[in-house]
Amino acid sequence: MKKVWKKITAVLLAGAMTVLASGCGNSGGNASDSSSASSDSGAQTSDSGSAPAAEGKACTIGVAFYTDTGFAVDSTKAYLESLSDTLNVKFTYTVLTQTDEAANLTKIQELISSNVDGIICTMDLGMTSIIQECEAAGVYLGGYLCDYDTSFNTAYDQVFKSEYFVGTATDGQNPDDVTIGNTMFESLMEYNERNGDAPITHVSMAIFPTWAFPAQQIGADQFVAAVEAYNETAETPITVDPLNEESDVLAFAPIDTTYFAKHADSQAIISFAAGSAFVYPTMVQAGVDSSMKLFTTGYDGGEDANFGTTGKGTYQQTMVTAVESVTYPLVLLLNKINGAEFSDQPAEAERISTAQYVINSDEDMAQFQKSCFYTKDAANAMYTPQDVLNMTAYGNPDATYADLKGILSTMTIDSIK
Amino acid sequence: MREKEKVTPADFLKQHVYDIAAYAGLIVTFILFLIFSGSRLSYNMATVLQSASAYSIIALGAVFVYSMGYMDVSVGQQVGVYAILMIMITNAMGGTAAGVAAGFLVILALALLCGAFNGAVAVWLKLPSIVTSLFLMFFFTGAQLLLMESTGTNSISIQAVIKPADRNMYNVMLVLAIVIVAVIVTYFFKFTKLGKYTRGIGANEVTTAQCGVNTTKWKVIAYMAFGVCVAVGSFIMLTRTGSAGKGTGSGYAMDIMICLILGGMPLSGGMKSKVSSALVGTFTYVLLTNDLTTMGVDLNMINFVKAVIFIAIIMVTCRKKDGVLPR
Amino acid sequence: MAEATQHELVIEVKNMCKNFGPTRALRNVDVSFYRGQIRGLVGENGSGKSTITSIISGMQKATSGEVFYKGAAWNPGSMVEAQKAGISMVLQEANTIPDCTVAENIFAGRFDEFSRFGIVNMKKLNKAAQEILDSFGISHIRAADSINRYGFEDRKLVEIVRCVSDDTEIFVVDETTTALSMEGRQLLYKLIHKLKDNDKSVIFISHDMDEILEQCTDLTVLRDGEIIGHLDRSEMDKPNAEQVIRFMMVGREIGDAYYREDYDSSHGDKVALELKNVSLGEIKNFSLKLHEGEIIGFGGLSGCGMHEIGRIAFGLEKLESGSVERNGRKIKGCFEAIQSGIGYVSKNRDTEALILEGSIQDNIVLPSESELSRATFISPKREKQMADGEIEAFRIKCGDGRQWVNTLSGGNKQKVSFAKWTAKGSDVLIMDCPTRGVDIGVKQFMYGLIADMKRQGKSIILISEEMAELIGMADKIIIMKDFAVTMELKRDKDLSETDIIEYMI
Repeated sequence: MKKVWKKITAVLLAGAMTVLASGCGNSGGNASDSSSASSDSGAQTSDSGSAPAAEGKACTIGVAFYTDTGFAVDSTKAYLESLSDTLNVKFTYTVLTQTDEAANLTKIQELISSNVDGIICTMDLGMTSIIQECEAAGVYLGGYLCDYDTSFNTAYDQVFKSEYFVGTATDGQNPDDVTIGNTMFESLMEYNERNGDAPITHVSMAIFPTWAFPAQQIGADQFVAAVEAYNETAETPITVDPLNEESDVLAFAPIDTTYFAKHADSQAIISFAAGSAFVYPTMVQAGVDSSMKLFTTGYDGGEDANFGTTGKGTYQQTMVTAVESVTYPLVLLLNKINGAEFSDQPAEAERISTAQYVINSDEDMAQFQKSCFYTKDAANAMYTPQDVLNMTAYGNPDATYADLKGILSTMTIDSIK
Repeated sequence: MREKEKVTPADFLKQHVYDIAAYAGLIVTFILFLIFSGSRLSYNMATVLQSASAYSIIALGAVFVYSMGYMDVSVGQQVGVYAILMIMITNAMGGTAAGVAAGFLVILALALLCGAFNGAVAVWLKLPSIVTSLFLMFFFTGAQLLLMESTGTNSISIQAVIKPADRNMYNVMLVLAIVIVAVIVTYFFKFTKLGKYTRGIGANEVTTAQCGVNTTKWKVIAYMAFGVCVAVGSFIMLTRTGSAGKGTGSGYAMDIMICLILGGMPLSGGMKSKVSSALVGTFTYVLLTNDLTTMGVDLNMINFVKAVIFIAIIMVTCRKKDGVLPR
Repeated sequence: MAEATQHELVIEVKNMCKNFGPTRALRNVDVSFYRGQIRGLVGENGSGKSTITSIISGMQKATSGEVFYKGAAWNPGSMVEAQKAGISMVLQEANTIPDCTVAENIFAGRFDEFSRFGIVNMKKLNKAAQEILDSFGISHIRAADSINRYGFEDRKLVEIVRCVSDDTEIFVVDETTTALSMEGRQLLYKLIHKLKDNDKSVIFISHDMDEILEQCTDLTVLRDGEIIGHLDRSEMDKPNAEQVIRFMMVGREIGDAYYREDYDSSHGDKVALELKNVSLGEIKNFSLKLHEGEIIGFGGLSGCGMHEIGRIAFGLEKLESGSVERNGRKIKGCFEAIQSGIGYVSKNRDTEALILEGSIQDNIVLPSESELSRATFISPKREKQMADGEIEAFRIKCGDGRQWVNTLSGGNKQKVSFAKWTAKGSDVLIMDCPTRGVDIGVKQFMYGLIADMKRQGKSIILISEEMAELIGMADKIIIMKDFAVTMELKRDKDLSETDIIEYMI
C-alpha cells in the first residue's frame, strides 16, 4: 500500500512540476527583459483594445532560432521583448534542428498550435512543407539571419512567391551580393598600417562547406583576388595559402590541430567560418593564440578579452549582424497581420543583405560594447519601439518599403549610439 | 475462503498501476490539450496526428521487440537512411509512381534484412541486443552522412507526389495508416504465436525454449516484424515533408522508447506487454510536447519537465525484485 | 509448554495478518520464539510458514499485527537491517552473487572492515573468509575461488556461512535442506544445534518430516494461515507423532495410500524412448530403454549425473556421441522432443519450468500453441478452455486462469508445470525432482497422477533424491554414482532405503 502511495506521490509531483515549470517559463521568459509583462500578459493584450489604433492589433509572433543559447539569440530576444508593449506583440520561441526537416516541421506546427499569427524563422530546412503549413493555418512567415539560399534556388515558386512568405533579412550578404572578402582584406590592411613594424605577410583561410554557406567560398575567392591585386604593387606582398579541402573546410566541427602544421608559415587565419567557436579554441589548444591573429565573423561573448591590443590580441576582426535588423521581417509580418501594405511593396518576397558591424580596432570594440547586441539591453538599441512602429505601414502612412530596406544598410558600427 | 472474493481499492490500484498511470497520463495531457489549444483546436489535432503518425507506427512494431525485453537504438538512423534512399530511388526513376513503389520495396527489404541481422546476430554471438543495434546505429549514421555527402546538400526532396494535396485527405490517410497497422499488430501480438512467444521470451526465455519454442527463429521474426513497421513508418514520415537530410530520424530511437514506457510497456518485456502501450504512449508523448509549447513553457524547461515526468513514470511502473537481499 | 518457561522469550508475533491481493496468507497469527530452541514450522504449501519468517526478517511487511523483538516493537525495513539486528535467514532460492569469489560473497557489504583508503586488502579478506569456512567444517570450499566453480549445494553452504555470525540471535532456515546433500545437511544440523546450545533461537522450516522430528526441539503447525497447534519435544517423541502432525497439517486423514499400492512392474513392449550410447562430459556410453507404461526411477546423490540424464533425454544437451531416439526419430533438441510427445518437468521450477511473471493460462498453453493455432489464429476461447480444464483436473488453488503463477504456493506451481504437459498430451514425461518442496497433500496427488499415467500407457522417467518416492513409485530404479550406473533394482515391496543407499555412496 505504501508503495502505491509513493508512486501516486511521484505522479502528483511530476504534475506539480509541469504546472510550476509552465509558470516559471512564462515569467522567466519575460523577466529577462524588463519585468514588464509577466504571466498575465494575456490580460494586457486584451486591455489594449483602448490603445490608439496605430498600435496595431494584439498578436503573437513565434521566433524559431537555430540554437537556444548564445549572444545573438539572447540579445535578439531582449530586443524583441522590448518592442512587445508598444507593438502589442507577444513573442514565443522555439529552436529548430540543423538537419532534420520533419523535426523542424513539427516545431513550426507546435508554434502554430500555440496560436501564433506570424513566425520568424532563422533556418531554411524543410521550408516547402513549412510554408504549406503556414498557408493552411493562415500564418505568415519571415526569415532572419538566413539567406534562404536552398529555397531561393530550388523552391523559389513555392516559398518566395507564397503570399505567406514576407521575405528575409540575411546574416550579412546574399551569395549574389558578397563583400565579406573585401572587408576581410581591408581589416588586414588596417592592421598592417597600425603595425608597420611587424605586418602580416602570410595568411591562411577557413570556411564552412559550400552547400551550407555558398557566400563563404565566394568571399574567400574575393579575398584572394583582393590580395593578388594588392601584391601587384606592394613592397611586401602577402601570401595566401590556397584553401585545403581536408583541413580548411570545416564540417561544422572545430578545425583540427593539423591545420597549423599544414599552414606552418601562416601569421593569421582569415576565417569566414564562425571563428570563436570553430577556430579560436583550437588555436588556444595548440598554443598559437598569441603568435597568430584571427580575422573572423560572429561574436559569442568573451572575444573582447583578447581583441585588438587587449589580452593576447588574437582577434583582429570580427563581424556581427545588428540585432535590430530583425525589424525587417518583423515589420513585414506586422503589416500582413494588420492588413496593411507599403505603397511600394514588391510583388514577390525578397532576401535583403544586411549591413554588418565590422569590428577591427580597439575603438570599434569600445563602440560595439555599447550596442544592444553586446549589452543585451534594448535601451541601447538603434531603433526604439516607437521607431519600429513608425516603420510599419499601419503605424505610419508615410512609411515605405524602400525606407525599411534602407534602414538595414544603416546598421554599421558607426551608427551605434 | 469467502474473503478471496473481496478486492480492495488498494489492491486494484496495485494490480493496475501500469495501466492507470499510462491512461491517466493520456487523459491529463489530452485535457490540457483541449484547454490550451483554444481556437486552433482542429488545426492542433491535425498536427498532433501528423507528429504522432510515424512514431506510433514504429512504436507499434517495436512492441514485438520490447516485449522480449530487448531494445533497438538504431531505428532513428534507419529511418533517416530509408527516407533518403526512398527519395534518391524515386528521383532516379523520374519521380514516377513506380519509382515510389520501387523505393519502398527497397527500404522494406533493407528493413527486413536489418531486423534479421539484429535478431540473428544477437543470438548467434550471444550479444545483448543493444550491442547489435548500436552497431547498426553507427553503420546507418555513417551511411546517412555518406549518402548526404554524395548529394552535396543538406536536404533532398522527393520529386513525386506522395501525399494528397488536400489536408483533410492527408489526415484521413494517416489515421487509416495508424489504424491498419494497429489492427495488424494487435492481431499478431494477441492472437498468434508471434506475440505469445515474444512475451514468453521476455518473461522467461529458458522456460519458453523448454516449451519447444525455437527462440532464435522467433526473435528474428519479431525483429523483422519491427522492420516492416520501421519501413512503413519511414514512408509516413517522408510524406510529411517530402524531404530528408543528415539529421532525419535522429532521436527516434529514444523517443520510441520513451513513448512505449509512457504507455506502460515494461522495459523488461514479458506478459504485461501490450499493444496499447504504443498508441497510448505515443499520443501522450506528442500531446505532452504540444501542451508544453502551447502552455508557453520556456524552451529550456521543456526537456527538463519531460525528464521529470519520465522519471516519475519510471518510478511508478518499475518492478522491484522482491524478497532478495539488496545487491 | 513447560520447557518454554525456562527459556527467555526473544521474538513474539502478535495477531499478525498478511494479505496478498485477495489471498489471506496469515490470519491473526500468534507465535513466540525462545532462546535455546529449534522451533520447526510445518504446514502445507501456502500455509504461511515462510510468510511469518519473511516478515520477521524484513523481506516484507505484515498487513496488520505486531512483532516484538527483545521486548521492543520490531519493524525491519529490509533484510540487511534485520541481519544487522541479529536475525539471519537462509532462503530456498540461490542467493549468492555470481562472478565473485567465495570470500567476496561471504563479506559482501562488509568490505569496510578490510579496506584502507578505499582499497580492499584481498589477502586479508580471503584469509578471514577461509577461517570462517574452516570453523564451519567446510574446508573444501576455498575462499579465493570464484563462486561459479561451486555447485548449488556449496553455494548454499557459502550462503549459510555468510548469514551466521557471532551476532546472530535468530537463525531462520527456510527449506534450505532440500538443496543439500546428506553431508551438507549434517553440517547444517550441527550448526543449528550449536546455536541452540549457545542460547540462540533457530526457526526451521522443512517438508521433511523425519528431519523435523529429529532436529527440532519444538514444533508449530500451520494450516491455511492459521496456527493449528504447538508440540514440544515430549509430544514429538510419541510413536504416532508423525500421523498426528500430518493430520494437523492437512486437516484430514492422509491414510497410507500414499504411493502406488500395486507391485506390478509390468509394462508395454514398445520402446517409448531410447538413449543409445550417450556420452556427455563425464557420462560415458549411457544407454537406456524406456517402455510404454513404464516408470523408471533414477536415484543418487546430487551431482551423480542423474539430473543430466533427464536433460539429455529431453534434448537439452548437445551430445558428444550417441543419440536419443523416440519411435525411430532422433531427438536433437527440445523442440523435436516436444513434437514427438516428450515433456519435461525441470528440477528448477521457478527458473526453467515456469514463467513466474505470467498467468497460469499463459504457462499451461505455451507448449500447445502450435496445436491451438489455426491459420496463424489462436483462439483465446480455446486457450481458456484448455487452461481451465487443467486447473480443474489438477485442482490448482487459484482465482482463475488469469492469476499469476508467482502468487501461487510451491505445490500449486508444481501442478502448473505438470499441467503444461498433460494439456499437450505428452506420452513420455521426464520429471526431475517433481515433489521437491511440495507438501504431502500435493505429493499424494502427484503420485496418484503418475500412477494414472502409467495405467494409460504413458512412460515416465522419475528422477528423485527421495528414496521413499523411488521405492514407492518406480518399476525400475537405477542408482547412479559419479556419472555411472551402480545398480538397477526391480520394483519390490521388500526394498528398503538402506538397500539403495549403499550403491549411492
